[in-house]
Amino acid sequence: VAELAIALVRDALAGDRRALAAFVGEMTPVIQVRVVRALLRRRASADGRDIRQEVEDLTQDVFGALFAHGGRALRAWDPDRGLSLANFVGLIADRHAASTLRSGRKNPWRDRPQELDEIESAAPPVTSAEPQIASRRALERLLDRMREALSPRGLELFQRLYVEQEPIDEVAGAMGMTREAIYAWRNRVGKLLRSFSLEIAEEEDKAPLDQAGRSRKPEGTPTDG
Amino acid sequence: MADREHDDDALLRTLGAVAAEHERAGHASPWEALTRGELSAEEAARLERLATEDPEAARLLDVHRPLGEVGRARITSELAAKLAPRRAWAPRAFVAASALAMAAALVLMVTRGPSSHALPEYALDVSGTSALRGPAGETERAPGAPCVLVADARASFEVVARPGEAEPGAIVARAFVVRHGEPVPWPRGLEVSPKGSVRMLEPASALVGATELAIVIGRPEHLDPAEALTKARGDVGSGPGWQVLRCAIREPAE
Repeated sequence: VAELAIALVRDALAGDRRALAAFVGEMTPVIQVRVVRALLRRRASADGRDIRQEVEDLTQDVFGALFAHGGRALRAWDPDRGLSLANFVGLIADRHAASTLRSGRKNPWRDRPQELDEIESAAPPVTSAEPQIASRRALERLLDRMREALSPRGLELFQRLYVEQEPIDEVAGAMGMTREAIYAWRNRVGKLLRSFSLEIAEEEDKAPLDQAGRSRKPEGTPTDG
Repeated sequence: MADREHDDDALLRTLGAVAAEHERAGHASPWEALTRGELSAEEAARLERLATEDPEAARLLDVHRPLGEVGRARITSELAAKLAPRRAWAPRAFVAASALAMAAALVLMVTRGPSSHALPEYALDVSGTSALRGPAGETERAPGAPCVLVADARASFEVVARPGEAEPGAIVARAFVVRHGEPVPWPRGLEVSPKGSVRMLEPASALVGATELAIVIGRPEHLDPAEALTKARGDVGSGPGWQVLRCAIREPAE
């Protein structure tokens, strides 16, 4: 299966029309479900808009992001690291949907020609703030912000270490990293999260409260599931 | 320092749990199964019925309905166009090298350029009260077999075949319904728009008792009635200058 997926990606990136059609056919449902999840988490802010059209537009945008800059995002997929093509594309779709829906930019990756790992490294130092994330909705927002900031490799690390809870040594081996490199990555992401947490906590404080005492803003009702 | 690392790890674990919950809920959701093409026809019909009774279900159906063949073809065309200029540059680079290289480049450009005989890839979109979007009755999504029509005598159906590129040039289209394994010519002509789209808007009663609708599209020189019938009867989906698009026909659910 991995060999077939590798050949499919290689031929699609080479512009082979049949391979492109097959890739689009296989990945459209994967991307569509991630896009819909992201949109439904923000369903309140979508009132009055044509969500179906947004699903189609965002799905198309994710494909565009995968193939932008000579397919740099798609070329970052390495089956030897253990993540299937569908799971990898799903992570990219999560990231793209989160970024586009927050920033309103149609294709945020086009504005970021630099190496994506630099985004993680460039997180501002936040030394005195502790995370102030309490509500479920704030956690959802923090998750989106983190996905938006991580490189494809960072997304893979998060998926394997914290979503699938694989042992750190196993992940380090598969990703060709040392334990120390993973700890360093975690520290960089932690710095990012503290920075984002402060922003989100401030925004939550400004938002009106609902009857249960939770802050209430248009963005981000609980997930559809 | 160690405390901060512990806090970072704890927060990442919490976020990982939220992400895992999204995934679990998504995999268990019938709506996402609809998008992935994993529902049986009966399960899909149940969601369609639910959507007629509950506005929230209607909204979920709207966003989860799989992108159709037309949408996927549009994405494919856009990606192909995005990747195409890279290939187009190669001959130009050779042009400056030598007269021989120039001749080779010209041949390459001619063979890849627009041709009145090459037919752009067509894709189907279906709608109407007797049309099902996406595969039905299958446990696996089946790319290339997305069109299913319901032979409901009280309903109508619309099938539109759109070319992957604008203004594909002169085409003709002929339709056949397959009865008892044999294609029977559709009694009426098909609409062909100036931009090459082919449309059928017909009562679904004409589908009763048939198992398949085949639309054969091609260049006029490839598609006299006898050739179209041969292509509708065959198993090959396309050839130089022609293409066959097929919709399965099923009886309405009880």
